[in-house]
Order: sequence, then C-alpha cells, then structure tokens
Amino acid sequence: MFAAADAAWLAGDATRANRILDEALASNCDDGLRGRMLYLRGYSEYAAGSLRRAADLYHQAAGFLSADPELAGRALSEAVLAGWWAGDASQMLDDASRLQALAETSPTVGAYARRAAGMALMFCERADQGAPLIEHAVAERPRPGQ
Amino acid sequence: VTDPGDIWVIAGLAWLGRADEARTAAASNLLALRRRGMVGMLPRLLRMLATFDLDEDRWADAAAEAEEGLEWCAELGQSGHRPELLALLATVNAWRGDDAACEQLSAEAVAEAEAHDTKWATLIASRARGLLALGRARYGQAAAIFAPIVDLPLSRGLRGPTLASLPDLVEALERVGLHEEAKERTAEFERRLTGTTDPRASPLTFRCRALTDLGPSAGQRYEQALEAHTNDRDAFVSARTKLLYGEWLRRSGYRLQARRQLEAALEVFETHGAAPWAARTRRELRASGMTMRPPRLSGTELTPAELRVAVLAAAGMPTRELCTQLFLSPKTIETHLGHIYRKLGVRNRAELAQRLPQE
Repeated sequence: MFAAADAAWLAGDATRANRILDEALASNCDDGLRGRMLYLRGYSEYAAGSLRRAADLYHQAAGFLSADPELAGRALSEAVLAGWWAGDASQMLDDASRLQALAETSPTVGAYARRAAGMALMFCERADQGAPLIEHAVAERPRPGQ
Repeated sequence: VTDPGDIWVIAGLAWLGRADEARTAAASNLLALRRRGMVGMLPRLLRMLATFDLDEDRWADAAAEAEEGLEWCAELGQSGHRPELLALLATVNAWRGDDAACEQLSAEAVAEAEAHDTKWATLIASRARGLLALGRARYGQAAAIFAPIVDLPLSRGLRGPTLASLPDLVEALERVGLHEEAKERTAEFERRLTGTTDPRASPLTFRCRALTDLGPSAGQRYEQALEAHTNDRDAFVSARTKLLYGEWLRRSGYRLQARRQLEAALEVFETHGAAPWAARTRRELRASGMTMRPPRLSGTELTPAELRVAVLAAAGMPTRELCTQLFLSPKTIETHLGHIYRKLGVRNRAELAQRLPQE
C-alpha cells in the first residue's frame, strides 16, 4: 500500500495517495511502515496544507523510524525546511539538533545533519558557523543507501 | 520513497550563493522528473528554479517557471507552493514596473501564505512592493516597506528577502535624507554579512558605503563596488550600482563620466525590460544635458508560454512529449515554435538550442 501511495504521489495524484495513506494509517501496521506512511503524509501536507502540520507529521514519522535512521533523518531534514518556510528559526534549530542525535548512524545521516545544522545556523544569521557546514555537506552529496 | 535528497543539495548550493550550480542542478532534476513523468515533484522544483532565475536576472525564465508552477499546483492540488510562486511573479512585475500586477500578486501571495503558514513567502511578496516603490523613486514608501522585513533576524544569505533588502533600505533612507540611519543600516549590513560566501556581498557593501559617504571618497567606493561586481555575473545588480554612481558623478559635476555610467546602466535596464529603472536613468541622463532617444521597444521577447516550449524543445524534447508535458495540442506546439523561430531568428531546433542560452 505504501508503494502504491508513493507512486500515486509522484504521478501527481495526491488525493489517491492521501486516501491510501489514511486507510493504511487507520489499520494496524508495524512502526517502520507507519513511519514511512507518516513521512509521505507529511510531504503531502507540505505541498497542500499547513507547514506546521507537515512538521508535526515529520516529527511523528521520525519517532516511528528508529530502525531506519536514514529515513528518519530525511523526515527531520524536511521538518527543518518546513521551519525555514514558516520563518521559524527555533524550530529549525530544534529539528537540526534532533537530527544531530542521529548523525553517527551513517555517513549519509551525518551529512543530512550537517546540512540541516548549517541551514538553521545561517537562518539565525550565524553564517560564519553555518556556511562551512553546508559547504561540507554539499561536497559530500550523499545518495540514499550510500 | 519520494526522495528529496537532490532538493536539499540544490537548496544548500543556493544558500551558499552558488547560484549557477544550484540552477544547473535544479534544471537537470526538473528535466529528469518530466522525462520520468514524476509530476508530483514539479511544483516544488519549478518554485526553486524560478527563485534562482529571478536571482540571476533571468526574469522571463522565472516568470515562465512560476506560471507553469501555478498551473501544476492547480492540476495537482498542491496549493502550498502557490504563495511563493505568486510572490516571485510579483517580484518580476516589480522589476518591470507593472504596478497593478505587482500589487495584486503580492496581496494574493500574502493572503495565501497566511493559510499555509509560509511566512517566508510573505516576506518575498512584501519585498516585491518595496522594490516597485524604489524603482518608482517613492523612497519614503520603499523605506517603510523594507524596514520591517530587514528587522527580522532571519536570513537565507544575500538571496533571501531579509538581508537582500538592506542595501535597498540604505538607498531609500539616503534619498529621503535620513543619512545617519542609512549609515547605521550600512554598518548593520556589514555585521550581518559575517561569514557569508556570496559573491554579491562585496559589491553591495561597497555600494552601501558609497551611498552613505558624503565626501569625495564616495567615487572611489563606487569604483570599488564596480570592480567587485566583475566577480558576479549579475548584470542588473551591477547596473543599479552604475546608476547610483552616475547620479553621484553628475551631482559632483563630472557630466561626461556620469553619462558613461548611466548609458551602461540604461542598456542593461532596457535589455531586461526594467521600465522604472530605465525611466529613472533616462531622467538622470537628461539632467546631464544629453538628448535622449525614445525608449527601445522590445518586440522579440518570448511570452512565458513560448519560453516554456522553447526551453524544452531546445533540450531535445520531441513534439509528442512536449504535448504530454505541457498539456498542449501538436498544433499549438507548432504555432508556438513558429513564433519562437521568428522572434529569435532561427530556423530549427538545433539553431534554437544554440541561440537560447544567449537569450
């Protein structure tokens, strides 16, 4: 069901994607799958609803994804970007710090954490600390599964 | 799983002021998404690409991307991207001097941004109104709009609305005679730039210093600003410095030197279709004793729809695929291509691919 929802979302059918996700979330499923569903639901909320609700969904998703730190890291990265668009510097810093707690789990998540921290710091006008972190993260250009 | 990994890399490049790389990466991602039919991601990518093109003076591209983004938002029900797309279009109209369009788009963007909690889009939309006022030489109004934007202690480097508005605020304050405040804002700009790697930082710093320098050394600071602009491909930002330098030279009695700067600025403003800025420069040239030719009319500019077709056709997309991607009939595509070829003076897609980057 998750794959169907993801495919529907990418193909531009958000209504179908949301219907599948809501149906799946209402049923019993393991934490990993629930986390993935919430992540995608957050994505949909980001595109069509409230940024604050989207951030909330990303936080919930990360909470269910302890067995998949890379996806949890992506959910928190999205929450950082939602904070930027909402003009909420403290949310960006909080989420960057949550991401930092996962940084040791893999080089990819480490890069996500550096980029998020760099953006949050730059957003708070601490570019001298933030810019080098983004430089480093961009130079790494991590790819999923790396 | 929908992977926005590339989007974060693109955003990172943009935040560092590496606009060219960010733009190239975003354009190549957009093409890949189109080819794979992954339209769900298009509004977000188009939003990013329009931002980069606006930053880099490619206003026609930015407008075409923003308009396409709005069409996709409607098609896909992704209203969350609308506020920024509207704000970007408001900015294009501000630079071009379409007062009514700028005000309307800005108001729509602000109203929709509230519903989606997108405060950042509100700032971009407000800045557009400030730029319009500045271009129209309504300096008091411009200062009143820029001040609250600038006062937010948030930044996305020099390409975001907060920090980018500081040099504009300095210009407006100096023009309404609030010299001490303009000097304080210049110092604030330099302080807030600490750690910024954006190549635009240095010329804008020199420009602010020149604006607030009441002595003869202002000329030297303008020269430093122009020298620093050579590190940046941003012709419009550089032309604005030339306009200010030209104004200063004329007021200081250096008429011939003033004309050189003003004519160079006018060329860029006319090429960009920046009507208020061109008008301001013409007034200054007339004041320098120059007889002005009539404004140059540009009848060769592609419409947003033509530009969209041109970009994809130049990238090698066949007509059949163009129809699918843009939801147009083959006949409409051919009509657009006919207009594009005539306007750009090319005969086929190969020539279009060569010519388009220059446009």
